[in-house]
Amino acid sequence: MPEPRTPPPHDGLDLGPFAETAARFWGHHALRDPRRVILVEAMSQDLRVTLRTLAVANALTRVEPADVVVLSGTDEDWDAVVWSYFDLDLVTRLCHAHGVRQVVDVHDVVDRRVAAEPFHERVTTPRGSLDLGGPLPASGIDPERLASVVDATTCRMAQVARVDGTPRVQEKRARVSARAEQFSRVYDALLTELDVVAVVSSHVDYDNFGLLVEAGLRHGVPVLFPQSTGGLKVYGLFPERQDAADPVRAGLTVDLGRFFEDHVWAHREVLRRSAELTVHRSKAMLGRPSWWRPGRNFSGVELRGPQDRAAVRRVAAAGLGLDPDRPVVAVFNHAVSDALGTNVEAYPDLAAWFEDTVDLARTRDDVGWLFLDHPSQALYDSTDFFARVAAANADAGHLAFARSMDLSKNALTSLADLVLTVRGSVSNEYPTFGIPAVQTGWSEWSACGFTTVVSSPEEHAKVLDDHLAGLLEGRALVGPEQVERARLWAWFYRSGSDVASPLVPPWQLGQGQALLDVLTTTMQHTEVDADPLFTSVRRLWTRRDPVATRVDLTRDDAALADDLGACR
Amino acid sequence: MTYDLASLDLSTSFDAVPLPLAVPGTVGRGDDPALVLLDGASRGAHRLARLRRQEALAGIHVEVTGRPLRVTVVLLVDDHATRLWRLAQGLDATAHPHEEAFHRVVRLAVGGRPRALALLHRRTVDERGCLQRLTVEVGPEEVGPGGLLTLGFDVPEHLPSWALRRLLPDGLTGVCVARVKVEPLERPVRAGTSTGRSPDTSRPDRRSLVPRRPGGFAVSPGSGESLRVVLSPRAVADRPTPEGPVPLATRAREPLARLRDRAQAAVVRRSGEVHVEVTRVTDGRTRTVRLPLRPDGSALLELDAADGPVLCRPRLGAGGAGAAVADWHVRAAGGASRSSPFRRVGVPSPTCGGPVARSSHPGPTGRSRPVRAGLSGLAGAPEKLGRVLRRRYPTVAVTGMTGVGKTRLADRLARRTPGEAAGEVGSATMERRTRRASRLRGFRFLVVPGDNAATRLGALDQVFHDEPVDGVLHVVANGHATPRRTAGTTGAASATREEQLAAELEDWTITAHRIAAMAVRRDAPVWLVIAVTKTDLYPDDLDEVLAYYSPGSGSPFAAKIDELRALAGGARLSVDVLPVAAEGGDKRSSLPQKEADAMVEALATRLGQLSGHV
Repeated sequence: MPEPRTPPPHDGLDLGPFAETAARFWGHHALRDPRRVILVEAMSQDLRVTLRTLAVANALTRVEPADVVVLSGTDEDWDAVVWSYFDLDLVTRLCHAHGVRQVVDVHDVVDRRVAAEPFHERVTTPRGSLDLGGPLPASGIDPERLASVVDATTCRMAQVARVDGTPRVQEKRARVSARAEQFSRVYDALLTELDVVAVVSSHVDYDNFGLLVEAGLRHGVPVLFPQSTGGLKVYGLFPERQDAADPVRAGLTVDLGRFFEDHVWAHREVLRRSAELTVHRSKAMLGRPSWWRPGRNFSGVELRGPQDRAAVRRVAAAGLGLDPDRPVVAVFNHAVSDALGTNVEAYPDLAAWFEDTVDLARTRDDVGWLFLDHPSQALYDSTDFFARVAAANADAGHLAFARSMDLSKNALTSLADLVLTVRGSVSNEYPTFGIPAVQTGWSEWSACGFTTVVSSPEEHAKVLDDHLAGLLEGRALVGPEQVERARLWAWFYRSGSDVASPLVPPWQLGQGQALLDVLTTTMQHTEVDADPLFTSVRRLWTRRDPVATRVDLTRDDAALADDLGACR
Repeated sequence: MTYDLASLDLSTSFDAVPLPLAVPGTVGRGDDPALVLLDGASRGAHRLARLRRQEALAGIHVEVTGRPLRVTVVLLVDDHATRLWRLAQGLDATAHPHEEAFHRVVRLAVGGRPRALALLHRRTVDERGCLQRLTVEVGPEEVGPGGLLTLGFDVPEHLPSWALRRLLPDGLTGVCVARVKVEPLERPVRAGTSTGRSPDTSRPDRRSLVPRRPGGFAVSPGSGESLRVVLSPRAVADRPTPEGPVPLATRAREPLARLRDRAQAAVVRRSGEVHVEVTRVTDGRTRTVRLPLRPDGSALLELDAADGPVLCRPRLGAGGAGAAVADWHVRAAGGASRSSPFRRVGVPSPTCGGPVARSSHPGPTGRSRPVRAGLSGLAGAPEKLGRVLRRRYPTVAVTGMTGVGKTRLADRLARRTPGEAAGEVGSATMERRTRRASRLRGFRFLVVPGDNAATRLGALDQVFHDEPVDGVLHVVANGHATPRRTAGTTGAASATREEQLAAELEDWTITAHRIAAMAVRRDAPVWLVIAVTKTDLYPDDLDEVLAYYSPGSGSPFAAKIDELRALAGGARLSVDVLPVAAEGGDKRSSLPQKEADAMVEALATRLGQLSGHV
C-alpha cells in the first residue's frame, strides 16, 4: 500500500531568508579545500534529514577541510513506494545554501546508464574531471554482498517479506538489480577518483544508500550516519573496525557495546539519577524509533507496580481472550521488508522468524501468546502477511493476534511477561521495567547486556523453552543489573548520545517554516564557539568514537558530573 | 489473582506519589493525584478526562474502606467533544458533518465487568452539551487490593440495528468524563435509564423522554437482582392534512402551529400492548417483550439484572390504529426487592404515569412544583443562614493526637476560660470555638477529636472534604501528650515518650494525607501552622524540638511535611512552626504566665496574617 498522499509539509515554505543567512553562516564557519571531498547523501524527502547530513558534513570540514559533493535524486520505485513529496529543486537549493560544491542527481545518472542513454555528468577531481555518463569500470563489490543488497531493495520496493518467483517480484528484482549494478559502478568511480575524506549518509541500507556506504568502507573511508530522531545523533562507522564479511551495522553493534561498557556502565553511579529521569519521561513518549508513535495514542505507561498492573491486566486479557493468570509472551512483528540483512540475524528474514515463532507458540499452550503487528506495516507489506498468519492460526485459543494500535501502552505493559523481537526497540524499552526480552538479531543495544541474544533458530527454541520454564516457575529472568543497564541505555540513547545543538533543532519541531526560522535566528544571532555540533563531531572524528556524545564520557566521575551539571 | 512477573520493576524514583481519594470524594480534574492511571484518554484541566480512543481506562486510587461503594460517573458531550471528534476524523473546523444527527453509546465497566450504558445524543438546542450520569454499586472485591478502582469505557460490540443506524463512528472520541464521585453505599443503587437527553433543570420531565432518534433507551441495572422500567407512551392523533392550497399566512405560522396542535392532541392510551425489543449488549441477544398497557396508561417492563446493561426499543402494539406514537417516557422503578424501603412518603409513585398524565391529574399534594420548591427552601433556611453566618470568620481545623492539648489551645485562642471547658477533656465529638473580633477578624476553630475517638474519621472528612477549612493548626507536644485510653474505656493510661512520639508521627501521617487531598482539589492556597505545645516542659530543648518539626530538617516528622508539600505543591501550602504553651505561671510550669500568653498571642497574630486579617 503506498504511503498516504498528504500535502507536502514544505508547501509554501519561504526558503529565501534562510538560504541567504545559511550561505553567509557556512561561508564563515565551514573550511573548504577543493582538493578533498566529503560525499553527502541527500536522497530523503524529509527536509530535516538533509539539513542534518549537511550540518554534520560542514562541521567535519572544521576538522578536515574539504568541499562537499552531494548525491541526490529519486526514481520511480522510490516515488511509488516510499516518497510522496521528494523535491530535488528544494534539496538543491538547501545544498547551495550550505556551500555545497556540486549536487549530482545520482538516480538520474543511474537510470540513464541503465537505459544506455548518452549523457555527460562531470565531477571535478584532483586529476581533472570524472564523467559519470562515460564508461566506468566494474565495481569491486563482493557479488554476494551486491545480491544481498539487491534482494533487500527488491523486498522493500515490492513490499514483500522475501523474494519469491512471482512475476511481479521478479520483474522488480530485475530492475533493482540493473540499477544496483550501476550505483556500484558510479560510487566506486567517485571513491576512486576523488580524495574522499568521509561519507555522510542518513541511511546505510538499500541500493542507493547502502551501496554508497559499502563502497566507502571498502575504500577505507569512514561513514558518518546521522539519525532521524531527537537532536543530533550521529554514528561513526570506521573501516578499520569493520569486518568486510559482516553486515554493515554489525561493527557498530560491537563498538557501541564496548563504548557502553567502558563509558556508560562505568559511570553508573553518576548517571543513575539521570537514567531514572529518562525512563520516567520515556513512560509518556519514547519518540522515534520507538514502537509507540507520538500523536497516535494519548497516554503513557502509568502503571506503578504489580497491583496496578494486575488491575489493567485483567481488563486487557479479557479483551484479547487471554488468561491473565498465565504468563503472556508478547511477540512484536517487524515491518517485514525493512532494511533486511543490514545486521546479524538468526533467521534468513524477518518473516521466517515470525512464522517459526508462531509454530513454536502453537505447541506451548501453557502460556498465552500475543502477536502484534508493526504500526507502520501498511507501508512495508502488500501481501497481508500478518493477517494470513493470524488466519491460519485462528484455531489456537492461546494465541491472540492484534494490530499494534489496538492496544494501549498500559494494556500491553500489563500483559507482556516476555518480549520477543529480532531488533525492535521494544527490547530496550521493556527491560527498563524488568520485563525480559529475547532478540534473534543484533541491534544498537544488543551488546549492552540487558537482553538475551540468540544466533540460530535452534538456539531460539532452546532459549525460549528456558524462559518459559522460568516464567512458569516464577523465576526472575532479569535481575536488577539488567534493569539498570537498560535504564542506562535509555539515558545513553535519549541523552548521552543525543547532542543538543541549536544548529540541529529537535526532530519534533517538524520540517515547516518554524524549523527554518529557528535556524535563521540561530545563525544570525548566536556565536558558534563551542557549539555542541562542532565539538561532538570533532570528538567523534578524532577519537574514532562509534557515536557523537553530548559530553566527554571518558572523563572521571567527578568531571563528568560537572560537565553534566548533575544534581547531587 | 493474575500472573505475577517476578522481575517486574515499573517504578522510577520520579513517579508521583499517589494520594488516595478519601471516601466520600470526587475526582474532577485530570491532575488529581488520585487519578493514577489514564489510558486511551487525555487528562482534562477542568474536567477529569477526554476519551480519545475507542477503549479507555481510568484508574482511581481510592481509600480502602472494605465497604461497598456508590460510584457515579458523569459523561458529557459538548463543543469540545465535537471539536476533538472532527480533528480525529481529519475534518477541519468548517466541515459540517451533521454530527447532531448521530448519537453515541458509551459502556462503563468496573474492574473489567460491564456495568452501565449511556446514550448520548446532543441536539442543536443543547447549548451546554448533553450530560448523562451513570451510577453503579462497587463491591469491596471489585476494588483492587491497593485501592485501585478501574473504570473502563468502550462501545459495545453488539448493538441492535436501530442503535447502529445513526451511531457516530469512533463515537468515544471527545466524550468528556467530567467527574467521578465515590461515596459509601448507604442505600441500594437504583437501576438507571439513559435516553440520550440531558437533564434539563427547567424541564426535568424531558430527561425521561425517549427521542425519536435513535428511538430507544439504555437500562443499567442497579443493586437489585431484578429491575423494573415504567414505559408511558404518549400517542398523538394524526392531524388531518389540509385540503387545497394552504394560505401563505398559515404556512408562515405552520411550524409553531403544528407543535401546538400536536401537544393539544396528545392523548394517553389506556389499552392495547407495548412491544419492547430488549438487546443484551454483551452478546447481542435480542428478545421482544409484550406488555399490556395498564389503566394509568403505562406499561411495566421487568428485566433481569444478570443480563447487565441492555438497550430497549419500545413500540406500540395492537390497538394503535389511527394514532402514531410521538414519544415515550421511561423511568426506572428500581429493583423489585429493594425499592419499597426507600420510597418517599407523599410523593406520587413513578408508576402513576408519565408527565402527561400528571399534568392532567395533579398529584395528591395538589401543590405545583414551584410552590413545593419554595416551601422546602424556607424549611432549610435557618441551616443555610447559620452556615452563612458561620462563614464570616475563617475556619481553622485544630488537629493532633489525643492528649496534646488541642481543646485547651483552642480555648486559649478563643479567650475561653478553662472552667468552661473542663468537662470536655478527651471529647469524642468535634468541638467548636470562635474567637470573636471586630471587622470580621475572628476565627472559627473546629477541634477534630484525637485518635482515640471513633468519630475522628468523620470529623476529618468534614473539615477537609465536606466543608474545607481555610487553614490547619496541627498541635504536637514533643512526646508529652497526656496518655488517654480509647473512648469508652476506663482506667489510667501510660505511654513512654518514644511511644507518644511514634503515635504523634502516625497521627500526622493520616492528617497530612487529608490536608494534601484538600489542597490539591482547590485553587486557593492552604496554610498550615504546626503548634509545638507544652513548651514549658522542655524550655532548654526548644530550638532542637522546633527543628524536629520544621520542613527540610530531615527528621521523620519533617520528611512527612516535605512529602505533603511535594504532593500539594509548594505554592499551594504554607507551613509555619511556632512554639506555644497553653499553660504557664503555676507551680508545675517553668514558664511565666506572661511568656505563655505572649506565645499564644504570637500564634494568634500569625493566624491573622495567614488569614489576611493583618
